[in-house]
Amino acid sequence: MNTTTEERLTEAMRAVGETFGPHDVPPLDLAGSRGRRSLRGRRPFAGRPMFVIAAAAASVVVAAGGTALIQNSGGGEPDVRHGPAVGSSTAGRGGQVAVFLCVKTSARPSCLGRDATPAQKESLRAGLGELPGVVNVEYESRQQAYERFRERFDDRLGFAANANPGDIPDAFLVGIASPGEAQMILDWATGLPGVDTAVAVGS
Amino acid sequence: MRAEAVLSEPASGRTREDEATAAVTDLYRGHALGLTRLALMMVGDRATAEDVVQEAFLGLYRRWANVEDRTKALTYVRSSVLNGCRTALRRRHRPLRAVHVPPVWSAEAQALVGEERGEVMAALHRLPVRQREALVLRYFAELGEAEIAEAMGVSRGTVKSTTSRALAALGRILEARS
Repeated sequence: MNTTTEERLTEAMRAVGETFGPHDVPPLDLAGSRGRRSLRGRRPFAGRPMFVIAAAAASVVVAAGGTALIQNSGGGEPDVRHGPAVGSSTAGRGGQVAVFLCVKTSARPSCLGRDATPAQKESLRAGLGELPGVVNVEYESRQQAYERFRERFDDRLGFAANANPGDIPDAFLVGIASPGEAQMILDWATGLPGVDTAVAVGS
Repeated sequence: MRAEAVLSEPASGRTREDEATAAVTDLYRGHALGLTRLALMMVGDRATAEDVVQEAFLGLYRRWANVEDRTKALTYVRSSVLNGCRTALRRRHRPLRAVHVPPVWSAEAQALVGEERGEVMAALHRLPVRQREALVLRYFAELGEAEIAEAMGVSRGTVKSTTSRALAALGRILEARS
């Protein structure tokens, strides 16, 4: 019986460990030896939500766009899945970037445990629209995100029963002209007020 | 020659610092991933796990000049990580944690690792911290008894008894659930 427990434990820890991939390791910050590190707002990638919401939401976007996730700063090993082309009007020829907004449960310190404000959303939408290479910007509400999420996860993982519409963050889905533009948009969006996580979805 | 002699004075000080930077950075490159995963098993959320690991390496860097046996640097960092995890877990019992992070053993987290694994993680987190440490070091980090004893700062006999008690408790929790 202990063998079973040991095996189950080993397997569970291996799987959970893999949700934190080599690319998730932040750079070593030895400069902390001078200034005092505060718990808030020090490293740009600190404080991401563990791996649940953003990564799950990202895979929903992936499913909707019929594309593959090429980068996932939202957590976990990039889980490359190919979903059916359900067709999102946003998915440009070059793929898209999903900019997930802060929600109360966001772990990113800069979110301050609050929803992104209407003003933040407004300025994000305007800013994204002005970036070169951006084809279109579409807002996906939490309700829409939740519905996609349910469709995707309902029967398989028993997750939907535990998720509420408010748990899945709303996002701007940004259609881009070519996959090469994705990084620029990620760099631009990451760390801006109201932004939890940005992920690129390739075509 | 004279110019060189003058320059060598501050340069040697800088070299020692460079050496610490290089050594600690190398160690980080090789072990940050494994140690962060280990911390993740202990504290349950990656933000805290990342912080704990950064602090541990920073601690090593600051004390580098005093680390006598450099081959023990990894052991030192590993102990610091476990210590940092204990501190983080203690803090968590205080109210008013600004940010809620769904931990690895929460229902939501099971979405990505599956129900079965989530249940095992939830059970693991019902164990006392010391028992959890013993299990994580053995079954996740795959360390030997001597290394576990060093990391936890206890005797090998204690490692043995803690591990078997932890395993038995984990088995009971899992059985009660099924």
